[in-house]
Amino acid sequence: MLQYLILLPLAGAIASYFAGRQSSSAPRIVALAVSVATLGIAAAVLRAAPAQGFMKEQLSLSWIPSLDIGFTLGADALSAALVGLTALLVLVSVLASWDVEHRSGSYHAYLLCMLAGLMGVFTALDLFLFFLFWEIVLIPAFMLVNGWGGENRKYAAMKLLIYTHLGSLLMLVGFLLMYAQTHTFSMLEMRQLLGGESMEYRTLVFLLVFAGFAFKIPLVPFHSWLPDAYSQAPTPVTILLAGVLSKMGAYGLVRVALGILPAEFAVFAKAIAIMALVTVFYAAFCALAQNEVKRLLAFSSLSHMGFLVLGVASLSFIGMKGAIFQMVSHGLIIALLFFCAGMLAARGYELRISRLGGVLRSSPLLGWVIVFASMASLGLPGLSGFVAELSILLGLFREYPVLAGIAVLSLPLTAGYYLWFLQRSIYGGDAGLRRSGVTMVEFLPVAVLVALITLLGVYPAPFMELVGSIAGQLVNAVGGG
Amino acid sequence: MLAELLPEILLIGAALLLVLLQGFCGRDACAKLSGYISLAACGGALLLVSLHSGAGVERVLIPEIIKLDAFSLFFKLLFLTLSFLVILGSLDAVKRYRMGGEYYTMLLFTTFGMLIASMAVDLAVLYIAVELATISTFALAAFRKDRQGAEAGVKYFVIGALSSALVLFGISLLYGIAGSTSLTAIAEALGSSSGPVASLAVVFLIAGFGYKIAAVPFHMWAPDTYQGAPSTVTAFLAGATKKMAFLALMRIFIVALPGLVESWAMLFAVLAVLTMTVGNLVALVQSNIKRMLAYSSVAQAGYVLVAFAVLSSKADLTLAAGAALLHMFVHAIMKGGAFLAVAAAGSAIAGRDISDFAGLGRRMPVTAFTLSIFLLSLAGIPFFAGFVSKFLILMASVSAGGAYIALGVLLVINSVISLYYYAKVIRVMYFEGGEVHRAEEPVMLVAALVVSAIIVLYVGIFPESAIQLAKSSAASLFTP
Repeated sequence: MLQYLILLPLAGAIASYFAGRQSSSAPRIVALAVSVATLGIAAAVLRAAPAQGFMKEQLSLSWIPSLDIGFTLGADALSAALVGLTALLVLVSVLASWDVEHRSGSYHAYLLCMLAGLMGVFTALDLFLFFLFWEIVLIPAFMLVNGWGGENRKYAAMKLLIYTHLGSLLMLVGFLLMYAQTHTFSMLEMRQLLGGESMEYRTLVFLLVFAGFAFKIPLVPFHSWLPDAYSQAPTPVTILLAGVLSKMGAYGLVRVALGILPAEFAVFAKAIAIMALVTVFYAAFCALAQNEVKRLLAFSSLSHMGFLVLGVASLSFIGMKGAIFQMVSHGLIIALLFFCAGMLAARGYELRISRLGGVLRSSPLLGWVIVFASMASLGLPGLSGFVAELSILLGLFREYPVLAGIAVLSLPLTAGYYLWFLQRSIYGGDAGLRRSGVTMVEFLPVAVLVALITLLGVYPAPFMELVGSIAGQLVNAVGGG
Repeated sequence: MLAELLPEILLIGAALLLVLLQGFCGRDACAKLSGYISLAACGGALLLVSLHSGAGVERVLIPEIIKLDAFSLFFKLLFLTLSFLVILGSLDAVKRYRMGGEYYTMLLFTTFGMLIASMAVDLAVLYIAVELATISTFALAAFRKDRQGAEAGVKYFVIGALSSALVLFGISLLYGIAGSTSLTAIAEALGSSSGPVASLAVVFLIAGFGYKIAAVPFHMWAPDTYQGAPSTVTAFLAGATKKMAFLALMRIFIVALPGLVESWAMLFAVLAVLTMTVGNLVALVQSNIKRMLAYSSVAQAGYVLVAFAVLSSKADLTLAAGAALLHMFVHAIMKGGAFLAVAAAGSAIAGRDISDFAGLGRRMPVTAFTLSIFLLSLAGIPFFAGFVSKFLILMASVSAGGAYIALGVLLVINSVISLYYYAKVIRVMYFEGGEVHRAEEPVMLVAALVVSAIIVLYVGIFPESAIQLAKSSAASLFTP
């Protein structure tokens, strides 16, 4: 079943390209159909996800036997959760690009290629395959930013491409060092064979692999590509960059850095936690200073990703569960926020905070959605962001009370920049003209995202149970609790 | 013995036929006819060679002088594939440059020389074969009858002569020690002793061949020559001629000088670092696409040299040598393809600056699409052949451990730098330029481009057979 998550979008990409040569509106229909179907498969994967155990092999084809490389896919609760998130956010992104007319065939083809690559990353069981998908996601992202982005797109696209490419190649060197000692690329076998004192170059391996993920998440100081890329990308692509591509880094950190190299991770856990904490504060202060909606959201996203990494680095059961929860929760919330930014732009608002104002009066429904999303992002109890951050903080308190104490201080800061943003942009201002209402194509994704954020916030138990076993296993491997 | 040499006989026969033909028909008709004859000869030879290849082929045709083994078959495959593609593409380009049948004659002579070089296990024969192949390319490089064409030809000729002299001097030193020009005899005579004379020979050989493979600091001629020569010829020079020098290096150093591996691998490591770093950094600032591709060629040679440097490690030597072989093959196809794409673009675009390619994606969709494939492959993006071979080199260097890991990390950083200038071209082709009209794409060139692109994609997606072929070909070098 997993292979269709990759094959279907690929076929869709080709179909969309050729549909684009016939008419400029056909590709979006193709993309919509394919992403709905993919979401269906993803839902089935999520249902079938084994509550117990690390990755299970589901598809295994011999591919390059002379290098011990196989085309093996598998899924566990962690993968399945991210597969589901990806499918959902790509659908949201397709709906957000409903009015793209300029070369829409290529545009949707790139979107679907990205979907295929992302699905590959989250289900690959072979490190070589993982790396291939990881790399290939970059190309459509580069093309999308370059072809449909904002004013400064050329610079932003190239920066995104070069920075993350550097990270992934360093990661590849780490993978090869691991391969040199195990003669396998299978994640499952490596998990058995690697680790401990006997491993050669263990520090080097870990640092190389970590660099790859740190560039992608990103953590300060590997983040300088992020504000440009997020703000210059077309909004539907930003939804994916912030919602899903950042999760590639987080997923890799959990799956590879922690899952395969637990002992090394434990050595560096505190350093990683400090890095994450710096990211949280640095990004929050930067967000405070932004005058552009998308840049503010970019830094807010960065800050929340830092929180996620804090949870992983706490190496505690509850913190790990919180981090996995945060992957999904942050994906949903940031997608909603950027979707709102896209809706603002579509209604002719200027996305400078100083020029906004009175959105609540000129577009009441949209204004309320922005208020809701901001509240979710700043961690209002009852919404999913709160559950995630609370679990992360609880986990962190157990291991690093001082760091946790500092981390708590970031909450009022986050609340501060969101409330200030709302005050300046949503409230106040001139009454202005009443702008056009929310269309059906916009309402649907907004409603789904709002519902999910609320549902996960009010009743997180089923999801927490789903990821409980995998979180427990990851933490037990390093002797945490 | 004749059966094994059938491909060579076919080529030299066709070449001589073309010489005779010049007297009997008009210039244009003759050029056309010659093109098809040489295409057929090359295709036939390619077919014969590919039927031949496979494991366990090893025939000594003339003891200690000419040997047909998996290694030589691998290179024959490379040379003939590239010649075939270049001749196919030239059927269109010949008219533009007003080239006659002599163009094909020289291509065939060159290819013939390369095939002999691939089999030579004697320094004298190797030298003569290399010279035979090189001298014809001097004329090819000077085919454009303008200032740039002349500069290309003269530079190439002077440097070629100089490098041959250096090589010859190295060979004479080895002969002085061993009393023989046979590679195996030299290996026996030298043993593991590394006297000053042998070291001097190593230095001269590396310098001489260093010019031919355009390794930094011996690379200055390459950009001018590649820029000034017609693009189809450049495709051949970058794709095939350069690989012949690599072939000679591998044969000589692995078979004849294994005892000195410590010293020559060290030199190759230094050359590798210089070559890839300088090549990539200079390529970054090029505005002419042919110069950019030329410097990219320099950098790519550096990657191969990394694999050469790894030969001194205790790790899997067939992996390192196989990686080098595969990268040469892949590079021949992708770089050859890229220059052929430039030739194809030349039918509609006058300039050769990267900015002249703006809007090519809509103007010549097939050319632009295949060129993008070659560029992504050159950058080493997964699912393209260039990734597979570069990955193998990286794997060989990383698994050798120690300082070789640093070499691998340098390769990786260089690869990142190179992505910038390759991606820039793709961006210009697809996202710049205003309204453009669809231009007609030259049929034969497009055919050559599509075939090359298919090879690049096939090796990229299903690399198993290519990796095995490269590894088994490399293995035949290490078995005496």
